[in-house]
Amino acid sequence: MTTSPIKSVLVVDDSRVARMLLRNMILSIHPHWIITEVASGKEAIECANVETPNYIVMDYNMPDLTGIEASEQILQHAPQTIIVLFTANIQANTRAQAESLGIGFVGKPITEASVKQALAFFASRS
Amino acid sequence: MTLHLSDIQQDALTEIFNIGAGQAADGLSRIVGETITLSVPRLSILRNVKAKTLNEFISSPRISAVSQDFTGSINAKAFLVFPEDKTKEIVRRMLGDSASADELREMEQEALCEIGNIILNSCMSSLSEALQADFQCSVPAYHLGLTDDILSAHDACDNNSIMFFMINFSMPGSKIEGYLVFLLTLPALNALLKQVDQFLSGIA
Repeated sequence: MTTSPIKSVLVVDDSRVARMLLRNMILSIHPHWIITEVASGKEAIECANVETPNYIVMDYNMPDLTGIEASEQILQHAPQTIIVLFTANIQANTRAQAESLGIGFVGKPITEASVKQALAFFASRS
Repeated sequence: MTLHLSDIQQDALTEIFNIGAGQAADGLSRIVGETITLSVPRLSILRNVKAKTLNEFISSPRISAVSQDFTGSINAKAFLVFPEDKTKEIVRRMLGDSASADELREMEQEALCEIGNIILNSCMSSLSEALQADFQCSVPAYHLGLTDDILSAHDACDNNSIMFFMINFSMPGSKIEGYLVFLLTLPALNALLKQVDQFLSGIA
């Protein structure tokens, strides 16, 4: 358990299992952080506008918008938001899109190591 | 007949195969030198069906397919299926413009087997990692013909279950659809679902 300041994290993934894994693993490291879950890019944009989370963990391949498209729109309204693209789509082009947007990139599967990688990105930008 | 899966079992299997497909697309994109766009995947499990039922899912009656047998914790036969008219384009992109028409024809089966090997193993590796199950796999085999004939030839459908994972692999300038089909005996399917439940109980 750490004593880091409480942060809010928006988890965006159309898979309920992926959201559960991300929630549980983040809370195992930061038990007091506030986690909100949504299942699509559109919901993420709406939620980010209302709740202004500190961090967003964003899937790429979702039914309405891609994670990159959703991140672009969120950053237009809230450029201070720190986003990590957390995706099974690990191709160079997807990494390059994340990099050009200034957001982090972590490849699935969701494991303790990959979640720590996302958290390290958040910490480095905070 | 569709076998009932709970929403969470369905979600877990789809996510596991999605990760495998993502890894496979990364491998494929390195081979063809282009970005592969992946659709949102869909997973269905069917039981006691004739192969022709699969035509509801696969748009082309004639297919090219690569199969591999996976044995171990769960026994399954896995197929990567492409509509027949798309395979030459896939192979051309894999081998590049320098290959002649004769070379493309000669290499088509071998190239598709290699693609099948990458994609099927990526998916099964993802399954193996998530469920902590071990598999050994056979060398890939190539098939060309009617969907019914290819899948039925493998004592496939009547008494077995079919796990059908559909994801589109698109390359710039051409829409190439690939499908993954897994044939499992009913005991193997039950074993798989038991392992999925164990996986889920670990994260609940």
